[in-house]
Amino acid sequence: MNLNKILSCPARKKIIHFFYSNPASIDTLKGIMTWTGLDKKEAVNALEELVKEKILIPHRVTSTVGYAYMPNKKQAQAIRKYFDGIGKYKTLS
Amino acid sequence: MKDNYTDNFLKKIGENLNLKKQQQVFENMLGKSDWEILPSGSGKEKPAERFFDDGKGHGLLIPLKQGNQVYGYIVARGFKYPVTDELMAVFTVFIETVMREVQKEMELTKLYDTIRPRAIALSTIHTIHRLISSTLDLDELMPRIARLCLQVMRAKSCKIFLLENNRKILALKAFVSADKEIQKIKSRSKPSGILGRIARTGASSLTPKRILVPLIDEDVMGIISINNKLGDKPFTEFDKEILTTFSEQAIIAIRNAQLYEEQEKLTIGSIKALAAILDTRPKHIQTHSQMFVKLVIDVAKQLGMTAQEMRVLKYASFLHDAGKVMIPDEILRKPKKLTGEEFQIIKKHPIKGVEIVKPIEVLKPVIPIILYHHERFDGTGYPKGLKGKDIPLGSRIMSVVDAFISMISKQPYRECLSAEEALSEIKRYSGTQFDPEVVDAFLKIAPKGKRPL
Repeated sequence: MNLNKILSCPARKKIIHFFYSNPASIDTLKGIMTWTGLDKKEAVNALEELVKEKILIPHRVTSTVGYAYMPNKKQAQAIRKYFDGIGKYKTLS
Repeated sequence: MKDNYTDNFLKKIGENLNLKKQQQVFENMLGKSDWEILPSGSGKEKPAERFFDDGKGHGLLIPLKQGNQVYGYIVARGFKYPVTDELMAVFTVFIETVMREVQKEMELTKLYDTIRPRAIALSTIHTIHRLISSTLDLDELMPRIARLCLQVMRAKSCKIFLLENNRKILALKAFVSADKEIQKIKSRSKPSGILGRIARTGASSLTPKRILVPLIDEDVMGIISINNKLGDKPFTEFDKEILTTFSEQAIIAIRNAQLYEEQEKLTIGSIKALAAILDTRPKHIQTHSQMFVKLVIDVAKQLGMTAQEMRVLKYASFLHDAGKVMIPDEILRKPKKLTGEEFQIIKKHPIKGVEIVKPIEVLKPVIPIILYHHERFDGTGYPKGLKGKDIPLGSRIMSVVDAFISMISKQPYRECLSAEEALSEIKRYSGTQFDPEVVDAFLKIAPKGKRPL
């Protein structure tokens, strides 16, 4: 899936924007729902897709999964270009 | 003095007041006018009075202030008629209301901008704590810490060293690189150079391309080293602070795992010592063997038992026949068929075994496994005659392995069977004496061969 298609889904876009603004963050589903305002179903689906696209990596343990931002160079550049001009700490509507 | 806050404040006042609109409102009453917001200290000369006449017309001046701080002025000039006190009072109230709203909005924005990144950072620390506290296995923990460190620090590689042998040796325990999978390089050397200095002093080191932070628990226990920030940016003092916070979390998890490992060694050592004491008997009535323990654990793995379940089963394997120590040698060594009375005594050994391990708290979970390891799947075993899945899985596994080991071992009353013959017997009793699922798992890992083992 190319980046434009990935970002065409509002939930995926919100999660990518969150991690683009906070690249050192590692958070659980619950945390990501808090920071993005997504509901559980939207967040779960979007996270699954983003893991599949290797933009996020999941740190899995028995009790939880911590998601972290790990796009490759090409993806990172494209994401930077896309979000250029959007304030980092702004919440996407 | 102009700053970002003043700029924003005046900009927002301008947006909220909508000067053009004010111009229109006042035009109806006092004639046309020019309006502007004049920042304080902008160098532009402001009128001296609230109401003034500069020769080109009448004007008004309203300071924009919060407390004693004046940020700027609203200046309107060129009215045909003077501004009345009544009109000025109404307009001043309006402006004060707008200023209060703007001030509230700016405070909220400031709070959001300040708190949100910190809350996100706190949430990251909490997640890291959960991720690294979820294992007590050092071999699993160390690369996990390194991977998370790499992620949080946005670094290209991370190494974790631990001091060993009375702090004489610095051992590389994990090496993770952003480009590759976990590196399996392990090295041990005397702490020297910068690593040696950190090991001695506990002081961190920061260069644009590397940060070294000690892992401290009372004393220096190890060192985390990260190299090359992603995007080729230099590491900063702030990065060092984050790595220090991370290392404080990491060392707690490492110490917990180390203590657990030490406790585990102590427990296994005690159990082995107990088993060795119990084994000071003729060879054929020894209570366990290394082979028995290994086969039991291999079957448990096949059946997908958890690490904790396998740990308990391992303890039980060492001690499952401990009760035989209380059975007279003459009965255990009897080369002929046992009498009914003698068999009744033999049947008590699982209960006797439980009596031996019962006082040891850490061995409580092994009691049911030991007690029921002579039960049969069809319910004809002893001591309780439990049937099917009512028998603990560990006991069902031990029952199969015990029978196999017994058949391939030389007994006082018969020669030993080959592994192939013994496996054939095991298969024959699958579903009656033995749990078929356990038999299937056992057949996958059992030693094969036509000769006696």
